[in-house]
Amino acid sequence: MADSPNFSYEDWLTTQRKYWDAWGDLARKSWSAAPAAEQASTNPWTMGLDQWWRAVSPAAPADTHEFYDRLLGLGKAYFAIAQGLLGGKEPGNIAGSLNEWLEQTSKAFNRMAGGMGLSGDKSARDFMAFWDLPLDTWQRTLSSLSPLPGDAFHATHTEGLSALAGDVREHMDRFLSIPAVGYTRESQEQHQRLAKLLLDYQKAVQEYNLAFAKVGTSSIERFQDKVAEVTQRDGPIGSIRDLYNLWVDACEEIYGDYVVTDEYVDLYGNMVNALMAVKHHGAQLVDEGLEAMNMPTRREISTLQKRQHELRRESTQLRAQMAEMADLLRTLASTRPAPASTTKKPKANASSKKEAK
Amino acid sequence: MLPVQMSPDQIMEELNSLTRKLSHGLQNLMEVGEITTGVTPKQAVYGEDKMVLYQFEPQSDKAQSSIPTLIVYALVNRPYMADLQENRSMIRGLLEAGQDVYLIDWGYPDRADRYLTLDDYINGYIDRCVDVICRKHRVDKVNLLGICQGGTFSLCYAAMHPDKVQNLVTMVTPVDFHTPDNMLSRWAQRIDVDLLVDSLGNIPGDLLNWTFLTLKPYRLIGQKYLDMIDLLDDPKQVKNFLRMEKWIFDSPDQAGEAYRQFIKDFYQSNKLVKGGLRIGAHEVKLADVTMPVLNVYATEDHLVPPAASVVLKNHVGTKDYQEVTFRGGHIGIYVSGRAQKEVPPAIGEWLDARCA
Repeated sequence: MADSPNFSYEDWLTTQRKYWDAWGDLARKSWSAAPAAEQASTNPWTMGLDQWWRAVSPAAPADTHEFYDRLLGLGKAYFAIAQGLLGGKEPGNIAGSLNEWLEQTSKAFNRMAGGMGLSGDKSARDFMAFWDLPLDTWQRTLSSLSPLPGDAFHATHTEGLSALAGDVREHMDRFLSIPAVGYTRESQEQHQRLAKLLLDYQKAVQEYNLAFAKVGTSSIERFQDKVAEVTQRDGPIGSIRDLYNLWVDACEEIYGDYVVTDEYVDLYGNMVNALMAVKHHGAQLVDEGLEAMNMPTRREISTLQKRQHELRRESTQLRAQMAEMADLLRTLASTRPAPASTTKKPKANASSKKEAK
Repeated sequence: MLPVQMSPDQIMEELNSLTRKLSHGLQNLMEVGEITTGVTPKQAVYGEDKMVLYQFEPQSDKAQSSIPTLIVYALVNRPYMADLQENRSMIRGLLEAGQDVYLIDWGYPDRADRYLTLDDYINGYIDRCVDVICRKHRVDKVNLLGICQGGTFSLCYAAMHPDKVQNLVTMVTPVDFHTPDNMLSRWAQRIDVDLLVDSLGNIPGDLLNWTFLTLKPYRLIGQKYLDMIDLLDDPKQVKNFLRMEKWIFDSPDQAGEAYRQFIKDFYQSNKLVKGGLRIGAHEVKLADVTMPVLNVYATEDHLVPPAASVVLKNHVGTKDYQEVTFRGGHIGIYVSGRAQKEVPPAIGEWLDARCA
């Protein structure tokens, strides 16, 4: 649409502004009129923004898409706070709603830390999703490092861990340890190994995730402390943004304390190492496939790169040595005594030279 | 006292206002145009592989220092951070302070560069750049100004080649990698670096970005963007924000072997201060840093904690050691308005006093 010659950005922008302003008024009126139960389950601003963006994004330049997607995604924690405050049992009692909603969020963290997965109201889930930002970003980063999509493991939620723990996990390990036999023995063994490494990685990610959920409960407590501290010092908090900023401060403090502990250092190391083990083994399998097709493998190319690099290094060293020697020769030449005078020597000398011959 | 005092109407107005800013700001975002960086005119004077040595054009009639200054930037991120825009350029500040400024741009290593080692970077590229500058200016020594990881490289270079360095300036440079507040170092301890490099070859810039963002994830991945919505009305602010955003995510991949040695010897074994560091055929001893040293660090640096930098004074061999303390963070030290007024003039003055 944006590429059409008759398309006017100005008209389009004016229209979408009007649309948004009208929608904002409508949302405000309908929210006030909605029963409390309905208010708790929907967030008209998040929905409205999503809807607005879906409507306008096809016409917006492609390079603004990612930026706005990010803004809208990350604004959810902010909207979650608002929804929590507006969706209490007693409409209008904002302070009561805050406590009620924090209690729910804390329970949700506890459920998650117990490996039971997320449930509860949507605003608590959106709010907690903010706490999961480091892991979420890891999943996105992973997409660029792995042939597997970034959310391949994320899709297995923490509640799956209890299913994979204990007997089931042991059974799977035993199953994957069945000796391979026959003509395809080696290939079977390699695929069993890959499956085991994938399970190890999945376990490492889930342990990382669970540890975060456990620490997340403390972030709620720290947030409550901060709210109390600010109220005591500056009086009641008067905006969602101020509450949001306190939530960010609380999260950063709890996170900062936790990620320097030995427990976290181990979890982090295990997760990265487990992923690399998958990646390394996967690359070996790909190499074998390439070899079978008589194509150059990654291993071979690496060997060539290494040899070529060593040759270049040697050649650079040799060039440097040659330059040093040339300098030395120049210095020697400049310090050599001046050539003897060219004046004619007496005849007697000439005869003695002949004698010497 | 009630902890919050907001009416439902107030909350709804706040939400409406934010969403309005988002929708109205789209126009500014669409008109923002190209995001330019690296603003000061410069010429490439030497190049090798993907590395380019630039010389910056003087920005004033002020007499230039007799000893040129070579800036060595980190391998992580791009060096245009030191020359981001007209009013935020450490390089411009140094030029205005009368320094003759050179800068090494490492480029973007690819698979063919996987086997580049620290020896190649420090005793190879940096050393040859120093030789080129010395020949061009008919001098025996240069001033070296290392930034962040580039500061660590500069320290190593100065220790191995003290005869080629007149003065050394280190900016936000990690020296002791095992201070308790160094998050990056803590995280590196259990990483199997051999497996990492053997699996990935070069280390992807995205992976490093993730690591840096997760130092303060809620601020850097969350709050920052919400704050951005407040700036959407001002095209200039939008452009500044996007310029910084471009720099943050412009992360070259890291040559595998150099990364392997850097993490093992510096982050995991802390050999720069504990001893036993070898780069190529040289042993690196900070006691061999005998030229004057100016150590510039930032008090709020979350990447290189001040404690990791200031220990330098206990290890270098020089008696002429000074510090410049900047009240700000790792990025603010290059780009904040206050940094422009404080840091380059202080460096220029210190260098002038030692180049006469």
